[in-house]
Amino acid sequence: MRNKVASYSAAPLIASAEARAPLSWAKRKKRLVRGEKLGASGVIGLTIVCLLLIVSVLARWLPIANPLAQNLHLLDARPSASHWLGTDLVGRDVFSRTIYGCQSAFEGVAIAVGAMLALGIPWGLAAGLFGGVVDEVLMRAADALLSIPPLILAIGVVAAVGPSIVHSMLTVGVISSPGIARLLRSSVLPVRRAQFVLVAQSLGVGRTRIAMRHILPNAMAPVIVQTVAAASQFLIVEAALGFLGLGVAPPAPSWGQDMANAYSFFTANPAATVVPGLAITVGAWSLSAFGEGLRRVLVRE
Amino acid sequence: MARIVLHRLATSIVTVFITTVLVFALRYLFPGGPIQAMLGGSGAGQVTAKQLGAIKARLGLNVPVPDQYWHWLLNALHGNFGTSYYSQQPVMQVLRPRFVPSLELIVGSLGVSIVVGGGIGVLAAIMHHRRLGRAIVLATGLGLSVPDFWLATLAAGFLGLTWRIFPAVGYTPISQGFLSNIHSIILPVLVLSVVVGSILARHVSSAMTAALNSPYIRTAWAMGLPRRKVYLSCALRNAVGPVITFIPLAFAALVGGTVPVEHVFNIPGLGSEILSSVTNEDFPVVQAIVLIVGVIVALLNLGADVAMVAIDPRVRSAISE
Repeated sequence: MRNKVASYSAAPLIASAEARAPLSWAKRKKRLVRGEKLGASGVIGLTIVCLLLIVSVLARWLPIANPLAQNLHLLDARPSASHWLGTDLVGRDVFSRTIYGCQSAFEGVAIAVGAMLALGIPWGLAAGLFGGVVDEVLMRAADALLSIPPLILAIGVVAAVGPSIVHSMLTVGVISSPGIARLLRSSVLPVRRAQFVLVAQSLGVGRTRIAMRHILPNAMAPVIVQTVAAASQFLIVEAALGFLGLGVAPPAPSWGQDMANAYSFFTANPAATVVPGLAITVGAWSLSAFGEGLRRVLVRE
Repeated sequence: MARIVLHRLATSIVTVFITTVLVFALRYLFPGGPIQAMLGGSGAGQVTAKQLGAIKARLGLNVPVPDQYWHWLLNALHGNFGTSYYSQQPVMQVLRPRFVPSLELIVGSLGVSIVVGGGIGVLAAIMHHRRLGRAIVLATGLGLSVPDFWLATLAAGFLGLTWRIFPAVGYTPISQGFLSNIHSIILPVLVLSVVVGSILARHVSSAMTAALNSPYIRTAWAMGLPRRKVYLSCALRNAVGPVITFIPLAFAALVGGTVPVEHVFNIPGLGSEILSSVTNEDFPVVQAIVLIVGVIVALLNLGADVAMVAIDPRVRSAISE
């Protein structure tokens, strides 16, 4: 490869390398702070995500009903002034449970994102840096993981080791890590051959340091974008597991589980089914809209 | 061409092999192991060492793990996935009647997604700068974020329970009349198509947009070709690639979607079977379903890649380089 390059004149090579070089992080930060290129939907998405995060942290200090308190005199009530979205099958306040549901949703998402990055980043970095047989083996393993739907594998794990939201979301994260690995691998490949890496090598910088300080930061942008997009899907998977009764243990509030409970009394109080689902949709949409905005900010097209 | 296909076939075999190892290893991924899972959390403490040995011998767990895997794999290749813990019947016998309803849902949704989602994607690309194009982008973005199980409860709840337009739950097999069969699956098919159709619309629209911005389309405009000809005979071919590569992906997404959707509409397919098997702690059935799904997706991926090589000379030359 390098011999081939040497036979051409250097000038156009450098020009084209500069054109394809990733944006600097300083420039990306500037764009992000100014809200440049994030777009209207990106800003709205980011705002809603922040709001949901704040609400889920502050839930216990908000002046709302206890999500676990049962009022057995008021079952499946329709929305009223005292219970904005009515009550569920054991008389708990649906509005309060929807607010608290944020917490378990984001906890599930955080577990899956953590697992996905912890596995996906070393995986993609190794495939991109070592190349050859290592690359081939790692990428075939990625294909295999990608051929099983996350929800199905999460159910498989529940069947194998019993219901646990931590195990299921860990599995969902692990099964999504090949996506990150593939992406990182393909963005490591051009950076690995960039001139600043060559310069660092010629200055005698160690291989680990080059990988961690020079290559990884310059290859991370697409991974960050993909992580936000994946978080949006994880939110839905977490809710789906709850909906199927395989999520957090009752009576903890959870959007998916509360929706399943409310659905069995749909005609009595439709709002209790509609609103948790709306919360999931809004959360997932905000994350994906923010992700798309982030793509415009971080990745040069 | 033949060499590319053979190479792709070899990689598929590796992929399927890794899938089988993964599915076999499911029980060993987390602490506890198969016996613990089978006994359930509560009963485990009361089992004597002798009983444990008997259970191990009956399940073939008293041999080394690689031997267990080999034995399991050979059986699975013959369609023998063991015996269901719950019904004590062969797993294949449990699963056989479950394939048709799920396949109907998946194929139906694939069809709807390709026709409607693909059409919307093409429209979004052509109307790129118009209001309609932007509305489509917004709608598909929303479609991607809607949980299918929520849509299912809304559809079954409002259309089935409150307004009684469609049957809220239940499945009528095709043997009891084609029309009533279609009537019973129309809502779940539409619900499943929303998410998958939105994803496809996005893929098709970005491929079409790229094509419409390319020099050969500019040439076509410059030559004065009529609008219909530019769109339909020059640009539309670019929508075929995304549709083909999308099919395996959509299949995987739809299989995931059938679990809650079959649950809500009470359709006796693979999705509701895997769910009830989890509740019954019937591991062999779940394991078989996960394996079958993984292998089908791997085969569809193989088929899609071969089809792309066959129809698109650009892919062919890119691979052989």
